[in-house]
Amino acid sequence: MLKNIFENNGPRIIACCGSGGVGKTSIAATLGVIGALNGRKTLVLTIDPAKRLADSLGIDGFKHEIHKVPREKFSKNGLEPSGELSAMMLDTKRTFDKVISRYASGNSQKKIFENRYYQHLSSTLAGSQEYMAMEKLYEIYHEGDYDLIVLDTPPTRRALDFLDTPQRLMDLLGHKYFWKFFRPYLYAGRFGFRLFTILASPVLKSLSQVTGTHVLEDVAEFFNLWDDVLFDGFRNRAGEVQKLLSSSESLFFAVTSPMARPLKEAVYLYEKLAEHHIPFGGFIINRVNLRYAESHSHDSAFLNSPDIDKSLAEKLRINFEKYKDLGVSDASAIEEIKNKTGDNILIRQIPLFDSDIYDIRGLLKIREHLLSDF
Amino acid sequence: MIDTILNKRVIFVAGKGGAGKTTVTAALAMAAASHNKNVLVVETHENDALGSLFGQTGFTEKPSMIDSNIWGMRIDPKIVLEEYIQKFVTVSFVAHQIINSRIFEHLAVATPGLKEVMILSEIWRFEQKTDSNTKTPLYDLIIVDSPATGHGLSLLRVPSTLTSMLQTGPIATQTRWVEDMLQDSTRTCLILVALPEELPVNEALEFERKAENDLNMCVAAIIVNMVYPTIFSPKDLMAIERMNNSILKKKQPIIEAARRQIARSILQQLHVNRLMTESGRPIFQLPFYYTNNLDREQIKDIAEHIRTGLFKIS
Repeated sequence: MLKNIFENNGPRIIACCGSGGVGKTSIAATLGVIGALNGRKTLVLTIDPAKRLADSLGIDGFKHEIHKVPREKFSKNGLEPSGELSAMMLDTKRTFDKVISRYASGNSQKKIFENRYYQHLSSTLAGSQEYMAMEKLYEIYHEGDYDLIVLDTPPTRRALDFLDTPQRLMDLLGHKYFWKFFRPYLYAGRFGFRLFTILASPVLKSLSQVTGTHVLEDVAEFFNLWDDVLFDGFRNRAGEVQKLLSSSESLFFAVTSPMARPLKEAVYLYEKLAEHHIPFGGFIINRVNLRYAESHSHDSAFLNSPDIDKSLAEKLRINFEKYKDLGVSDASAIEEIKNKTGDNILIRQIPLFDSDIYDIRGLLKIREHLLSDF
Repeated sequence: MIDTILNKRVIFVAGKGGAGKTTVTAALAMAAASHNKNVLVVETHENDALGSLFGQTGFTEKPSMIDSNIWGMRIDPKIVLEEYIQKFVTVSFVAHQIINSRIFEHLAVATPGLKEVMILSEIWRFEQKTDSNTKTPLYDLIIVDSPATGHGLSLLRVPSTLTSMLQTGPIATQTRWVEDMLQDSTRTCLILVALPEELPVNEALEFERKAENDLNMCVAAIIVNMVYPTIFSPKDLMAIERMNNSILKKKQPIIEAARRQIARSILQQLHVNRLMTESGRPIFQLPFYYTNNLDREQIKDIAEHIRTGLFKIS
């Protein structure tokens, strides 16, 4: 039962994973609404919500700050939540900066922030957004201000990369390469680092001929600023984040649409989570087309009535066939998930609505379907 | 007919994840091939989606023929970089030492822009290739299935940032050639793919603005994919509402499906209209096929739409 997870002994972290464009943010926001209605102090941590949804929740423009959804947004819809709902947008770079400032000394902090290699690493390097989402989650969890945190993960496969090992993050930061290649040449110039120390290495020297020396200089300076305290701090932290996410405090959902590719991605996520013994809540299949029962001839008999224009009757028939196909296409896609994962996995279907979902009222429509299958 | 899409040399297909970039890439290739163009389709990421649309298990780093007049390849930036190092580091044992070293592994993925420049350089290299006998381009048109919006933009932005960062060296020179290619609107253009929904429309508009202002690149058109076709006329609409309200005693699924079609179509057109109002580029719509999984016939049909519609835009 999906309801049970919102009770007091339920998980404190719910993560929604899945490809882009499947409506993950709406699902995460709905889970947040359900949490608030169940008396829990809830925070939705999102990446990039649609402007209208952010607007209607009153959180637009509050980047990297927690913003409480005003109670009137609920009371307008006849609801008096016993808990509360807040939302926050993730800012990768600021989260990364915060991690650095936690472990690095004041002087090297400033230099790290100014380093071009770091600027690239913290904002654009593949994997950093994904990792920082988890980092922020961990931080908020530990501050203990919320009973429930719903995470809307970045829309990539890499959203789960952090599971592999915290070592992956260390790889990302190039820890071992640093030890192997740069350190020996940096000792000499610890307080006055110069490029010639790099060029003393034949390998680095040749590499610099291709990349240009600037790149290597930036990289070397960046590594030079990392000391053991910073690395150990990072490593330990990554380990703790991983431990929290695989504990019973967390629950992961795979969100998808019935389209072939997002669905394949959702099954991949499911397998990956299982491999790492991460608690899995189920599949939430969004934007499903209603399946029409096989029509009987008497259903369409009314189309033969003389009141109905012949060409309109024909259009209605053709249109209905298309919608039947669509329903069948979606149903068979969902059947495929069942075949791959067995009957014990929860699958919730949210219909494709005929209007956009952009406010609490819309989220309540999603809630209705999340809590009871149609 | 001088400056139509068909006469470009390189097309980058970009847009929000899930909008149908890969499908559009495949259909564009088929449409161009039917005009007797030699087309090279390029995959820049790891899933084999593009290959599977052509019934292939996956592309390799060398172009292979996948359909009449169509070749397919994927670009692995690491392999391109290895080739570079072998070419520019003259002492071969040092070159090997670099390629086999772990710092190389790391720098290949983590060095700002290196991966992107390698991808773009490879595209440039294929754009430059000529047939040894006729001296005409080996591939008339190269179509690149680009990464999703954010990464797509950073891919194309790299050359201009990098030319200021690297002043000398072979990669700096190479990057300038790439930049020239990207910014030359007679050779290169972008085709953006969007869905008739709020977020994808926003992303397409933002991409268009950044392409023109920051990247100095030409956006040839924005394709709105999966548009519900207009089936019912305004007169039909009224008749359907009448049937729904009075004539029929119970709810009819046929009428329900019709009303659904109408509601969705109206909603989509609102988003399409917004795109048309706010975008400065031609907007081209592709129909929805009422399925989750397009088959080859449907992709051919999309190709036909492109051939008879998009290719006429100039």
